[in-house]
Parts: sequence; structure tokens; C-alpha cells
Amino acid sequence: MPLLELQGVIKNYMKGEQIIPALRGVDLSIEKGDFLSIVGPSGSGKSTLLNIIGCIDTPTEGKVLYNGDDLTILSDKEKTFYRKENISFIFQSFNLIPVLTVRENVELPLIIEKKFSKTEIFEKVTKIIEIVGLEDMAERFPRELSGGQEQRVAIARALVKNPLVVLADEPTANLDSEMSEDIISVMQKMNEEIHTTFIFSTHDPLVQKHAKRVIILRDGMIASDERKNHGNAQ
Amino acid sequence: MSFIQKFAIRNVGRNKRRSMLAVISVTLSILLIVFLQGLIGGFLDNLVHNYTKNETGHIRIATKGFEEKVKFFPVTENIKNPQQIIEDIRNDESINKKIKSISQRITFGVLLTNEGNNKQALAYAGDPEIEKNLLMLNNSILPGGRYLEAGSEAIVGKILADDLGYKLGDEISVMTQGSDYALHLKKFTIVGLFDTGLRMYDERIFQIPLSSAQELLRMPGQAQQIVIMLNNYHHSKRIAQEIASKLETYDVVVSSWKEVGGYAMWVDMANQIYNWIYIVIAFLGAFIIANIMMMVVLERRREIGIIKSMGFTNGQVLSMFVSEGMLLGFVGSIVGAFVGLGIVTFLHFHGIDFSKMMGGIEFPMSNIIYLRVNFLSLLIAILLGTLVSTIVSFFPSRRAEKMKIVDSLKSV
Repeated sequence: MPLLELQGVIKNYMKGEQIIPALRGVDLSIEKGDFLSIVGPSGSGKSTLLNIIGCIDTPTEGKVLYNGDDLTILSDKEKTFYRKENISFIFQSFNLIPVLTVRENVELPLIIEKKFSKTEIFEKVTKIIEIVGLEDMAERFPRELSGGQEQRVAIARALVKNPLVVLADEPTANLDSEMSEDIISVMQKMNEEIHTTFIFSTHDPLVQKHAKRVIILRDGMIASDERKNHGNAQ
Repeated sequence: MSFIQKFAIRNVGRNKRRSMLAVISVTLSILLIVFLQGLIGGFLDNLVHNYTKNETGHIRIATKGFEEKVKFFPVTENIKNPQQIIEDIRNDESINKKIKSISQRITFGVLLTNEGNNKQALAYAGDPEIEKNLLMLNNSILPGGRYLEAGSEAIVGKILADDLGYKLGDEISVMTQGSDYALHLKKFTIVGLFDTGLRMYDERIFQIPLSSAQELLRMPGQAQQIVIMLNNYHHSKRIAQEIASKLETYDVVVSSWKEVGGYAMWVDMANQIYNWIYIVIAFLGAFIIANIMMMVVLERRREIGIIKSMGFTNGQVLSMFVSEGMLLGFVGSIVGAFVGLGIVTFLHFHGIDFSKMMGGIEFPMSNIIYLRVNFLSLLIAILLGTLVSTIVSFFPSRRAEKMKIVDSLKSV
């Protein structure tokens, strides 16, 4: 059974009386451990697709199955639980909480989960901060960091709870190529070691280069789906 | 401290100028409430003090017949054995320790006449020594005069004396109906003129010793009322019940000041009206918090989206923003309450002089009002300020709670 499955997903937005289609019937299966890049021009529906997978938006039609369970019929409370337990987001503009230090930003998902003691949280956060190379910056606030450092914090925050799925919307868009390479390698390491599923929405050729699978979206539909390691395009 | 509280504190410090504005707004409203509570409390305490010491005492013991005809001050409905009743009360240690003074009193109306001038007046007769602590007219004796000592002496209100043309050393002839229904006459020498500043007393009252009144009214050893002053008048009703059960064998009625006379109702009504005014002031002060919280919620839309996408529940988002409003209200209330306490404490000892306003008012209120310091009121003001700030923060916070994640994340 695939980890995630999208069946005939349509998403329309209303602009006044006018219907704006964002997704026009997407069918997609995502396996555990996928390192998947969704590419396509602006307005092709990449972000909408990520939002629907992450349960922060609902499709107009179609089903989204997670381990066989339909996410579209969940209540708000159940969706919150699904996100808390399984999903992490990385945003293009980092979206760190400005009043929290690096350590506190990274702690946030663990505090929300309420599964760990203070000591366990401290150890996990210390470890992930070391992995992203920010151990000297742990007590600094986001305003004291560079863009690359901020994105590393965002990645640490996304990975600290060992989510099953990481949804990354243009994670390297504001970074230089060296920093992008750095960050992608951190995510690759997580993918290889603990089989975290990564789904990127990106224009960055570097991300596409490292992705195991590249999906091209055009006008809200899947134009191509290339699985690099196995070489089987759908 | 929970994460949400820590988060709220950090967020309050985020825009210090704006938070300061909210705190100042609540501070001013709570300061005003504490000051008004002190002032109104001082007014009411003064009113109750003057009214009870001159009229009813905190507790009045009288016969049923007297209570029924009280507005006529009848001298025919008397307590036959007042001294025995006073001893019985004094002998009960638990009641006695709550009592400041007990006085036998006779009050009766007369028509005073002098050189063709007539004026209605009210005679207050009591034990001069005890009445020193009760009516306290000894404190208001004008220079040249003195307080009552014994025998056929009288002290007369300054305005009453002026109206009738009486001077120190003059004799006043008091003719009235006694308890035997016959008319009797007795002369009193004016040994002092008093000026309390309360027009309603200075223009119609004169005081004579109890023994002289008993002689004039033909009621030896009897009293019309027993007037009790307590250490704390707020407990008058409960203590009146205790005394009533103690005096079950006597044919008397025991009433607290709240049960007799119209001022008690006025005091209760004033208290209730001012309680509502305090709530309105607290809401006005907290209104700026509602505006600021609305701004905060709109500014932090994106952040709301982020924390919700991480699994923050709607309830946690709501409590985070409500905590911010509550914190602003709490800090403002604490500052306002303690600044207010400082002002009220100063004016508790120094008082505010209202003599220019009170001069012609027919009201048992002194010219200088000493503000009441009440720590319970202070606590209530802090709770009120915090509670109202929390309530007004709730509505903007609901907006944050209801925000859709996808819309929040799109906002700049």
C-alpha cells in the first residue's frame, strides 16, 4: 500500500463568480522513503498539491489517502492530529517565530507533540542543531541569522520530530547554491538513514538533480512522472 | 510556566511601545477605580458614621411601640430597665468585645421660643461622658464655651442659637409633653455652642444630660433608645441578631442601622450603582487592548498559519492570544492598583476638603472626607482589570482561532 495516494484530486478557487481551477484531476501514489520533486511553472498547482497532502487545504473533489485512510473526510481536530503526528513543513521564506531562539523554534514541534520529557527534548534538539551545523547559534534569535542559517533552522524544526513526510515548498529559493547543496545533503541523509519521505515543490535544478523522482505539473495536471533510480516514467 | 505563557510574554515584549500603551490604558482605568472606591467608600463611611452616631447607632434597641412611631420620637414608649439590658450585653464577652460604646438616649422634639422668635428643635439627651465618643459634639464647641458636665446645662447648635438670638450663658426654657402626657417646663443654661459644619445638625439640635431629660419627661431610670456603636459597622446585622437572642426575655426590638431609617437603602443603592460604574470604567480601559489585539492578530496571520501547520490546535491558538491580552491587563491592573493605593492611602490620612461644596447641603456628611483604604477592593480591582482585559481579548483571538491555515500562510 502506498504511503500517500491522491485519487482524482480537483481543486478550484473562487474569484468572485469566476472559478479558477488549480488542480484538474491529479492521480498520484507516493511510497514511504520517496525523495520527490514536483516541478512546474508558477500557477501549475505545486503549492496547492502540497497544501492538500499536508491537510492545510481541502480538495474540491477527489480523495487523499494516507495509509489507506481518506484524509478529506477528517474533522479539523483530526487533521490537526494528522499533521502533528506525521507531517512537517519547510517554507520558502523560512517562517521562523521571531520571538523564539533557534533552540526554542526547533523545540516547538516536540512541545506541541507532548510526548517527550524536557531532557529528551533538549537532547533531540541539540542533536538536530548539530546536524544542521548551528550548535553555536542555538541561543540566537532569527533576526541574528543569515538566510541560509534561518533555512537550516527551519529544516531542523521540520526534522526534529522524525516525521514520516516532509513537505518542502521551494526550500532553496532564497539560498545560494553552496548553501542549497548543504541543505539538500542534510535532507538526503535523513531520507537514506530513516526513510523520511520528502516532497519538494521547486524550480531549483539542484533539488531536481538530487530527487529520486521528478513530477512535472502543468495547468493543474501531471505532465510527467520520472522515477530516476528505477528509470520507470509513468 | 507553560510554553503558551512563555510565548505570550515574549510576544507582549515584541512591540514594547504598543504594549506600553495598552498597559497605561488599563493602569489609568484601574487607578481611577481604586481612587473612586476609596472616595465613595470614604463618603459612605462618613455618611454612615454621622447618620448612625446621631440617629440610630449601628444597633438600636427600643420598644416595639417606639419603632412603630419613631418619626414622632415618642416619649411614652420607653425601655423600663435600660441599665439592666446594658449590663446583660456587657456581660457577654463575645458580644462585648465587638462593641465600641453603648448609650442610653432620649430624643424629643420641642418648640423653642426666645424674644418672639420660634423654632422647632430636637433635644438629644444622653450620658455626657458616653456621648463624647458618640455625638462627639465636644469636638465642635466654639471658643468660650464648654461641653456638658451635669445638671441643667445645654449645648446648642450655632445656627439654632443665632436664629433664636441665644448667647452663651443664656437660659432656654424647654416645654414639652412628658411620658405622663402632661406638659412640663425646665430651664437649661447654655454652656456651649457647637458648630459641626453639618447644617442639618447645627440648625436644629441641642444636647442636654440624660438625667435632666428623664426629670423633665417624667421617666426616671428609663430610656427611649439604647444606641450601640460597633468596632466594625459592616457586621451590625449579625451582631444585632446575637444581641436579640440574648435579650429574648425583654420586651424590646433590636435593629441594625440597615433595618431602620432610609440612609441604609441609599448606601446600598449607591454601592450597587458605583459597582456598575467600576465595571464600565474597566471596560473602557480595556477597550484599547481589544484594538491592539485585533492589530496583533492581523499582523501575525502568517505565524498563526505556521504554528497551526505544526499541529497547534485552535484552542491553543486561542489561549495564546487570550493570554497576551490577559497579561497586558494584569500588568496594567497591578500598576494601577498600587499607584491608586498610594494615592488613597495618602488621602486616607490627609483627607479631601469639600467644605466649599458641602456648605449648604442638608446631608449628614462632614466637610473633610477621608478616603477608605480597602485591600479587598484592591484585589477586586486587579481581578476586574484582568478579567475584563481577558474578555475583550477573546473576540480578536477567536478570529485567530478561526483563521484557515492556507489563507494565513499566503499573507505577507
